[in-house]
Amino acid sequence: MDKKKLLVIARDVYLKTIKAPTFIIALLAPFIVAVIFFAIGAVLNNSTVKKIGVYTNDPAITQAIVKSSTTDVKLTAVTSVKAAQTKVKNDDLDNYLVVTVTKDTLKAVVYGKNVPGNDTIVALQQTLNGLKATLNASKFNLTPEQVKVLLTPATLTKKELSFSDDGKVTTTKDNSTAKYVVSLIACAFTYFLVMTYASIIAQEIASEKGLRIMEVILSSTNAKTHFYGKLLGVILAALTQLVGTGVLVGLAALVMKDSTQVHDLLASVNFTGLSMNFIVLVIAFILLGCLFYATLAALCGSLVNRSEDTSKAVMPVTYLLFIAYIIGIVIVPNDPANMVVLVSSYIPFFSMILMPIALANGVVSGGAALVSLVILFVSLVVLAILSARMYKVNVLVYNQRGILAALRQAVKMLRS
Amino acid sequence: MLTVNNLVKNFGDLRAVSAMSFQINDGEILGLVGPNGAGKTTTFRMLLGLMCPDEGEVLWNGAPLNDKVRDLIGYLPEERGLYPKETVEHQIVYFGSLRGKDPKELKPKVDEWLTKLKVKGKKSSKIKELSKGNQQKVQLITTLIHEPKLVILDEPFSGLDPINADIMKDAIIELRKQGACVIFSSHNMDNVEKICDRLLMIKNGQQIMTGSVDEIKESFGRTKVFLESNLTKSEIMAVPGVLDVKAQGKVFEVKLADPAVGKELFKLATKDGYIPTFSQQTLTLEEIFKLKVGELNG
Repeated sequence: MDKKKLLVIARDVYLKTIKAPTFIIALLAPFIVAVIFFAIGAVLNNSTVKKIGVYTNDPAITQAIVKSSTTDVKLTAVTSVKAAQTKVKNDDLDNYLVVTVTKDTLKAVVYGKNVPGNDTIVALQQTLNGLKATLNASKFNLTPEQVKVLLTPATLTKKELSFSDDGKVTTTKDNSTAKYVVSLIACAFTYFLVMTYASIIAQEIASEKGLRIMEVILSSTNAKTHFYGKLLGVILAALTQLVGTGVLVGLAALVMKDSTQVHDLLASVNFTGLSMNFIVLVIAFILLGCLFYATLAALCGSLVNRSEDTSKAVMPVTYLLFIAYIIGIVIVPNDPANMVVLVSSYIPFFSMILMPIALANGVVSGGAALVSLVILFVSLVVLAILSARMYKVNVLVYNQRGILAALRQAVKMLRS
Repeated sequence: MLTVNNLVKNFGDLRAVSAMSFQINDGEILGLVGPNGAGKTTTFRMLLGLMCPDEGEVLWNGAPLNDKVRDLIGYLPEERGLYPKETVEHQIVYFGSLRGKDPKELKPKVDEWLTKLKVKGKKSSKIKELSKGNQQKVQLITTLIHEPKLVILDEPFSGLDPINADIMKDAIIELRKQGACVIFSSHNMDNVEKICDRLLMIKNGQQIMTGSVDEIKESFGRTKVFLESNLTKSEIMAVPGVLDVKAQGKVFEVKLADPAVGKELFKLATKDGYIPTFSQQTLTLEEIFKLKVGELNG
């Protein structure tokens, strides 16, 4: 194989790919989505402070309710229902709450131009429940401490068990949220990345064949060099997108580091569960996955006569990838240790998406992930060698009877 | 020097090329002619290494034609193809780089070639913005920019107007001056006759004739006479050995069974003295082509 020509081809494909508008869009898409997400969050955040007036027939109870204001729900006492209505009319209050205390019960009605959202209702309900319990406590001769004990909810925490080879069992903090979030993002990201580059290479090869450029190219350099050059160019573009996304995430985190949403988001997940090994494995799966599907797509692209037929030819490849994606987002969240997930994580067509998730969910060990990575790599090598051989024949065969006939003809020619 | 020894290629039961042998010396132009489906493109594909021959070998200066020699090849395919969205310069430099040349070395030559072939368009123009004729010229530049030593042109004249065909003809003749081995196929016998040093006629994958244009023409003898005299068509037809007479204005085109019949015809036509035209000629290549192809078809 001529390395100089391999690089000429790879460079051409690489530059063509990263200069295309679709590359820029694909690179920026996650951030556009994130900006929209934060914008919506910001708008919601501003409007979530609800001002609610409280009117009861007992000032002590009014004060007790007002004391339970939170950051999201601000409760203020009103002197009369009429006064509350005026304030609602003038938008000084969002709603007002009328609480009637009878012998055993506590009845409350919330009024407003608009009924408050679910979060506010839950907050009000909790306040009223606590109040009711306190009011009734004296009847049962309960001390305030006893009431507090009764009102304290039971705690439920989650811990992960890990088993080492020497039989030791260790419990760790629950990282499942972090891993789940990362694996879902990785699942979607891998799916789109793999799909994008598979389409690019198939389109590229089909159009070169359709434009009858192939003969000139293959008279300049051998088919193997051309095939691997294309794959190299595409995988470098995919790597650029990965690095670009990483850099943009870093920049975005720097810019947004004072944003409360970013703080809240980071606080809600525990990233200590993400080891460097895990990240390296995920990246290795993504890149090998890209190469694996790019090779398959290139083979399909080389079977058609015109670039217009590319999507038809790569459809079986698209379906395979889609199955992995669907397992990843449908079965995994409900049952991470499902047998389908476990088996699929070792199958080269699916492992690039499913193994990182299985690993993140702790249903397989790091060793198992390595085994799956090796299976993927070996399959990729075999596929690439076979594809390069078929490629030489495919790109010069123009079969009018469809893709399968072209494949049969290519196999026949290869044997002869 | 390109040497082709006994090339054979089968597609299943069909023998596409059979025992093809020829040689092209440096600075020589070989014309490969034959009807559609004769095996011209298959022969080219075997020369280019796009297809492996079932038997025989292709040698460049005595050694097998391998990957290193690819950089010395310039190939213009029958079905032209360029990247429509790329610029003229990028296209030419890319193909040149694939022939092992440094882009820095190629870039200054792009302008030279565009001027030389009178391409209407800038080097920054996209291919799709050029007319078909100019696209063909760009394709020729991509074939020749790396100064190939073996040039293979599959139907180089197809789709060209007479002016562009002349530009193509000049470019091919210049290759001969530069000492390149050139092989080209064409249906236009007029161009073949004017350009090539030697001719190889094939049909159904078999060589049916080879030699220089003059040798081939002479081998058929001077069996055609253009005659302008007082003789009528029926008087000419009455001469023994005359096969056919066609009137072209005042001039008759007479087909002879044997060149010797020409003398008899000349005597008869000049029996009263001066006549304006008597020209005994060989058949044109086109006539020979039709004759041979028809003969084999029959």
